[in-house]
Amino acid sequence: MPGTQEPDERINIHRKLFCLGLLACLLVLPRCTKTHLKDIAIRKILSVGGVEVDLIYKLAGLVLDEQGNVIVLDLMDCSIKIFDKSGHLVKKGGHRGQGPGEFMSPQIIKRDKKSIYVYDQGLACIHVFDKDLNFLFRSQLSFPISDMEILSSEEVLIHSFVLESPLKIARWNLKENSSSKPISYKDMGNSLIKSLRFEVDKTGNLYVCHLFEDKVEAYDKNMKNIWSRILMGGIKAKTETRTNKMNTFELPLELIYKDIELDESGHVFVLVGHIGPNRSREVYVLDAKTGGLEGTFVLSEPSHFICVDSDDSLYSSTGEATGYAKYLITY
Amino acid sequence: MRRWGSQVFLTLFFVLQFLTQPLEATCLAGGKIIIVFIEASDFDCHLCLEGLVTFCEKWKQSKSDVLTLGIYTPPTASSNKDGARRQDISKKRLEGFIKGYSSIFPIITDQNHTIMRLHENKIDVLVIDTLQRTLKSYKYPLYPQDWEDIFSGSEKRKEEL
Repeated sequence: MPGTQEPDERINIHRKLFCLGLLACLLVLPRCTKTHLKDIAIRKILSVGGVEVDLIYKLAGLVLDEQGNVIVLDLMDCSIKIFDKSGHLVKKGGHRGQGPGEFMSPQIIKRDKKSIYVYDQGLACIHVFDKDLNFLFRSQLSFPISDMEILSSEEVLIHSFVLESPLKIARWNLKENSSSKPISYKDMGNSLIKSLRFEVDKTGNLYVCHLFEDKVEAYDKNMKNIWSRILMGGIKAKTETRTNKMNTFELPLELIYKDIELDESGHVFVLVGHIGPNRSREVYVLDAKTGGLEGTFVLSEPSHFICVDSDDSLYSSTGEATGYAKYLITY
Repeated sequence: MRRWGSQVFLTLFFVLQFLTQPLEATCLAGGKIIIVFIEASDFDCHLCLEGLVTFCEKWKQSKSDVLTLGIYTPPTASSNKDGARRQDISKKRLEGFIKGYSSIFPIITDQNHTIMRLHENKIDVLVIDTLQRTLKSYKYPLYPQDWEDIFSGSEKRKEEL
């Protein structure tokens, strides 16, 4: 009869509609969730030092001052070197030793408006200098740290695997030589795998990249997690079991991430470690508010750190830490 | 093997000293010679560098009549570009290390790897005591008694004898 359908035909129509709907979902859904990556490019505009030049022997870290000068910490000759915007050496201070203003194994350099702070692993202390590299004082720690950020002239934020706190991060009072969190050496061996690098923005938010695990996170100043991102499938560093007189622990054999940096435009930069085809050269750029991936770029040479200034310039080490390069980032 | 190695080493050492820094007879008569071995990889390994830096600090503080020499072994020479670059970077690290000190003992480069550490029993410091006529080797990390043994001067050792 006209206007009616046989049951078989109805089933066929339902099947066709179902297949069409499924196809539509498969086509449309990825478009809805696909991250639109920005086209981020870098262009090298300056190269300083290098193997052929006797300027930098082993670059441990680098910071920038308000005038755009580059302040380099050299681990080999135990010095702080200041280069102007053109890459000319304008000042040098420090040498190896245990006296005031002398270093044994300087590893980390940071600065605020008035002072320069250098963590010395050999002496387990933080040296404080003024902008002209005059030694001011030394804050003695009793344990090693793997990263620090300056909060004020009297307080720094430190990360150490002996700290009993979430993320192993605590405040350190430079004048009182005291930590805001307790210290314990009990689980030191197993805490190494939890090492990280971090940055703090102006509002006190903390941005963290784990060195031996694919995880990048943001926390507010009350240590509440804002976002957490996995960028490379959640891989973890290969490890080897080691035993010493005190305990057995897992020693990581590779770095997943090497450094994290913030710019003033709301971007988080994360330098990849010994993973992937662009070992120690690939940089992921994330949105600071959401952790969303905005893009990636690749440095011209492997580096162990990155530093970004307010003019969208990025600095990284070159020539196996015998120099540094400056890149202009364009979005 | 060990006796042959030490004889070669002693011969080479005296020849090198004669060529680079004339020795005084009194220095050898009752003195001690300390050799510290430095490998290129020491500058890339934090713990290895720490051992060497500690040695240098102890040397600075020591006031005894010991003669100290550093022997630096660069990376193996290789004909490819990477090998040459590694040698240049390694040499640069050594230059920086020396510049970090206002004064340091002489360091010679064992370019042809003539004097090598015994691979199985890696030696970091070798002490030749011409007074006691002994040859002793040490590995990092060193303990206070080791430092005392290494840098004790001839006066103290004459008393002990």
